[in-house]
Amino acid sequence: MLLTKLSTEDHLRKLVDDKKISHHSPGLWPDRKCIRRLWLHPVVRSFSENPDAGTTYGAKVRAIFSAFVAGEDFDDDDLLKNLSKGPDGNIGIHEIKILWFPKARVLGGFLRHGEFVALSHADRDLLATFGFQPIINLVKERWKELFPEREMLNDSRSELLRKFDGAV
Amino acid sequence: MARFELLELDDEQQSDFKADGRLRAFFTLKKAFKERARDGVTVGSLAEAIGRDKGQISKVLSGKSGITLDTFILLMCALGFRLSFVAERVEHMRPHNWTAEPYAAPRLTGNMGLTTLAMRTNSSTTSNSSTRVLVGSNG
Repeated sequence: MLLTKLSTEDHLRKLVDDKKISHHSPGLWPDRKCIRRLWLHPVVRSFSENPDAGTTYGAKVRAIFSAFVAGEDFDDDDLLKNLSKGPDGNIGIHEIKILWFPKARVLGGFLRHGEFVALSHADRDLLATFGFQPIINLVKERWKELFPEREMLNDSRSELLRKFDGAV
Repeated sequence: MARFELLELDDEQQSDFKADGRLRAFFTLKKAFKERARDGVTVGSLAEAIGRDKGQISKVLSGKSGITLDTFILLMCALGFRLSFVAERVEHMRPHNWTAEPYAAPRLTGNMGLTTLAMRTNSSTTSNSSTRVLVGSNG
């Protein structure tokens, strides 16, 4: 991994200032917990706030995101899965599964342990029809734009999901 | 003593609180099942215990299907867990000492959530609808 000119935090701050990502900060309760970070590409942010499926579905998406940030158990294929098959298998792309109907996937990668960057979303049925490669290509492209000098972190799921520790 | 003011929940807030509650129930059920699975409990045996179809219970546990409160209670009981509905007062909730939230301010939306409600009950003056709470920013 090449050293960057900016620290990771400075780089993230710049991306936020440039509105290229934003952090999902749950705000329902005063004692909200945040032990992992979840960065959202504007497209994913828009999806969580105003999905085509309506207000109720948007709330479910936000609840999943909040649960991730709060440290709920995502070490489970039903919630988070590493895309391990195909030519781009095991490069670190993971999908967060949005529960209940309609079933969507949010794809991205881990920048550091406990820090996920969500870069795209797609409906499961469309993925079944057209395959994952188009969205994989998009995720790779967006990652490269945001973090040109970093690869997605590739580690066991339990390690990736551990409490964010602010590592460089 | 400050009076408690009920928060009138708009459509988005109602959806958010319902989704939050349902997801908490899901994770509670999931955790209970995983604990018992270590002792050999299977989806099939759990379904049989409450007289339901295995496929249906499998969908519930994987998040592919919703669940009624009655079924949730039955599953938890069958797994050997007694549900305890302890309500927490929002005015007693305090931010955690540590947070992974980055320096960026929390997302401010039209959904005030009960964060604002907590401020209202602790404040000596009535807050207006634009009151916000910024919680847990890193230094």
